[in-house]
Amino acid sequence: MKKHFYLLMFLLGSAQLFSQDCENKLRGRVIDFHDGLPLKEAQITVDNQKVITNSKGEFLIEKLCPIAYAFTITHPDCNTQVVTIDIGEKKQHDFYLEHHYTNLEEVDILDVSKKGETNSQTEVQLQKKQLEKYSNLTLGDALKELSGVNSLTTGNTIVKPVIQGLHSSRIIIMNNGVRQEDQEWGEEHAPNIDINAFDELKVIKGAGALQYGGNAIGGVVIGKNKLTTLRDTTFGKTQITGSTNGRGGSINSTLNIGFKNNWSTKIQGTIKHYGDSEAPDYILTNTGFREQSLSAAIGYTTFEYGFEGYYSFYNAKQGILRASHIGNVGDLVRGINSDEPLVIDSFSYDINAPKQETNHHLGKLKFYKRFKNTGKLNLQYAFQLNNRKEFDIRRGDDRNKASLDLELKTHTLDGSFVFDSNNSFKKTIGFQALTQKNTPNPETGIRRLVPDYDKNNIGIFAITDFELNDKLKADIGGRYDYSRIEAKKFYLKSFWEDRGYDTDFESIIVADFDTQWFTEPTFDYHSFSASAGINYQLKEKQRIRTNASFVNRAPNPVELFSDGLHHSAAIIELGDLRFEQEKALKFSGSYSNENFLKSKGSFIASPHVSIIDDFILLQPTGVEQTIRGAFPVWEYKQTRALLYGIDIDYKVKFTDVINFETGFSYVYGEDLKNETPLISMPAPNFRSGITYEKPKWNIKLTNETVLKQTRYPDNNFTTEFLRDGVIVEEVVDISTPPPAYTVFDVYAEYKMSILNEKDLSLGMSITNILDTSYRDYLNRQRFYADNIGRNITLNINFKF
Amino acid sequence: MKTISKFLIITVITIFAACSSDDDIPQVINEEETITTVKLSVIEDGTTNTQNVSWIQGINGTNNLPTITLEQNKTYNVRIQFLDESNPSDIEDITEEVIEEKDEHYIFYDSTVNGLTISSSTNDIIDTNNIGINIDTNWQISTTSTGGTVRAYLIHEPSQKTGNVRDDFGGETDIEVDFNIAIL
Repeated sequence: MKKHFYLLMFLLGSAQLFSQDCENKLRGRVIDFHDGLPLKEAQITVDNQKVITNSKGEFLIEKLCPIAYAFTITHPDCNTQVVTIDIGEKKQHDFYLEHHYTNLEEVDILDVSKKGETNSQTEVQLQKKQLEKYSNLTLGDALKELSGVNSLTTGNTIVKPVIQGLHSSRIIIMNNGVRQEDQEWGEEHAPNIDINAFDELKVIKGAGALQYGGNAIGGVVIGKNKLTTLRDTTFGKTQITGSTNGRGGSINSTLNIGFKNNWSTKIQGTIKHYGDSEAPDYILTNTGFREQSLSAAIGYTTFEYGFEGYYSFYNAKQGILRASHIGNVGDLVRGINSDEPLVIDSFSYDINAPKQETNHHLGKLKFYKRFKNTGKLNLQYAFQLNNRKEFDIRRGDDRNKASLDLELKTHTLDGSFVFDSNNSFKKTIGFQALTQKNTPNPETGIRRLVPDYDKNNIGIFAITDFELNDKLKADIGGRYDYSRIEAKKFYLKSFWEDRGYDTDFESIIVADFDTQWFTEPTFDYHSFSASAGINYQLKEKQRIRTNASFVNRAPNPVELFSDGLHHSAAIIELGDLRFEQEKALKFSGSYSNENFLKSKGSFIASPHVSIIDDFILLQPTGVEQTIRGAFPVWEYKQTRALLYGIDIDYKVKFTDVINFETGFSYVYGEDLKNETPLISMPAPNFRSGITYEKPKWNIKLTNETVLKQTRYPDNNFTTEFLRDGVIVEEVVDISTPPPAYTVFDVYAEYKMSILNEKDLSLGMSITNILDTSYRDYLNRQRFYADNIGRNITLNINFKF
Repeated sequence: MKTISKFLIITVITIFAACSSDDDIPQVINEEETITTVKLSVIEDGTTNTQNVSWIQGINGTNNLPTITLEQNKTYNVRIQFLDESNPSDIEDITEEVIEEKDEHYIFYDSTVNGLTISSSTNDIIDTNNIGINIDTNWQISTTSTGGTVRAYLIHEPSQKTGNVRDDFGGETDIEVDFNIAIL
């Protein structure tokens, strides 16, 4: 910016040389400096003229002489700027404005959806203001606010996002520009990410965001965190919360500094501390939660080039409901048949086994440079170190030992070049290289669930966006990935033979360890992905997006290697080395109308269909007699899956102060080979809210209604019980989803001015106001306990 | 700028080269806590007539239960043992750990055998709450008894140690095996 200014000053001096023809025009836009979004109702003053930008941020100033003028640009949310432009030299100019610090998160953005990560895919996002409400919770809790995004939970602290019915290895999570690598395959593995590290969360509900990976069958979650581009300023916030349920709280602070010389820095930290949560009728014993996280960034930013160093650390300890730890099928049945958890102790802050302890380090170096009239080069190196420890209830000397202890080291190098000089024909080419090493700690004394492995991956992609005409923008992209996994796995000889590996995989045996074979399986995956779509403006404020994507997903470690008892589920899970990649074809679309029912509201409908060949899922296949009793055996199988559904959002402003919004989503999942419904599909759900908003305070009442899932596979099985001196066969119902439920929440906020305008906000939320007892189909602990009951949270947020 | 990008590239290459894979074999894990065998030593009261009957993982199951032969109107002393025989050259007796943590364990026998009464014997292991945990039991057979099944449970962290059916005890089931009882 500075450079341009000097240039203009120079031009200013030479301006008088030209003859006076005062019929010149200057057109352009006023743009938000931070995110490039157009600003409406910005005022530009020059001489005696006053011009206001339209809804697209555009302006036109007429009757200008070919001399240098000083333009004053003002906007209610931004710092006033004076820019000198020589009209003899320039006919077009875009002005960039910077926000007042207090309003950094509250800029009136006229159409957020216009600036997306992709051209033709459905994208939804949560802004800073919405994220702040979830500062004491998790990423998965916040994302649930978006239609089409649900959560797969284990109790109330382990929360995983589900995008249009798919989760875990089938979605990608981008942690501040880096693909998160944290054993995401596990259904009980929540993303090791602190929600407070982000300014914005976005979900791409499509498979075709090829710049992030060629295997996001379900979609992509993007968490963003930006360094300030403001100069010579210091600002930040501290947020403190306290909750009645869990009897704990959180504190989170952020400090941003923008130096004069284009350097800026940001540091942020969070601490959370909770004891046992409570369902309406009882304590959920051993469900405490601790988290400490920190992130820091420093960078140098100019329009032309810049670089950034970023580091984040996440450390968490999560208790798992004591009553969900079971030894065998009989215990499972006792858990299912009992209305209350079988272990209820008095409230405690202690976290005992079963529990998880995870930590995640992420460090990255990023560099960008713009080339005049060509585009922008991005390079990024990142290192991630993840450690996951899971503790079961054990006896003897092993009492305090983890049952699972995995260390995952990942290095990635990403590069891309965006050719954006021609706005109507944008191209992006890039690559992603990854090398990863997984090391299970043998000290656990328990055979490794996931073996030692080295994974190397290289992907290249090219995406192009082009304007066919004013209203129609198309995109097409392709990606190729080569991935090689070299594993070191011990197999029990009995299992090896049962699976028929002795005939198919004889060659991978390296050594004989008495009862076990040591093997070195190697997998090579080549995958081609493609995506194409259009973004069509139907009418003013009406838009249609459609996208078709073809992507592949390589089987994850548990799908390949599982060979034993999954304790928390009381099933024996068997993987298969023979698996092929999943091949998914996803069609997604959206129709958005911001003028719905005669400008009374905005409406978005996003239908989607996926056909996934070689879809990997667990199916019950038999019963195995063990010394702990009989266990059902579930094998990973490949089938052909069909998923389709729709997400609908409607927002309306009833009056100046009353807003109403509602969202609905539905997913249908079918295993086409076996003609059965797919397991764990989110039930149809509604989320609605009504807000009363005054400048100083606001109150929002929300309702979440989840219908009963009526489409589910029948995985029930029978087992023998000894009752009253007789052995009887009983059906174990592990399939029937829980009934529908409806939950009301309220959130109120009051803003005060202490040192600056509206710098202190006091908030109070009550979730599950009516203290309703309910269970959710996507909560893995639904067999044992109700979801959490009423929770009152006080929230103090001070901005400085 | 050039120096920075060069620095970046060199850093990355070094790191990538440093983590190239090695060919060591990771440490083999032989699980030690596994119980593979439940052994009942059945001694006719007042005699040295002994039957040793084992339920062995991988051999026994619903259709192949080990059989204990008992006689009507007699009493037997039964001692239960939990063994890890996954490595035949190094058999481990897990019973010792169970006894060490006697407060957290309880053995419960349920049966379909009419006229069989099982009670803690005088040389049983007694926990700190003065409850016998049924390592050693007396099995009394009535004169009318016919055969059936005895189911042995090893319960970890039971919610209580009194009751008549498995549901009364809570906790987690570490062992659940059946023995066939033939009555002479």
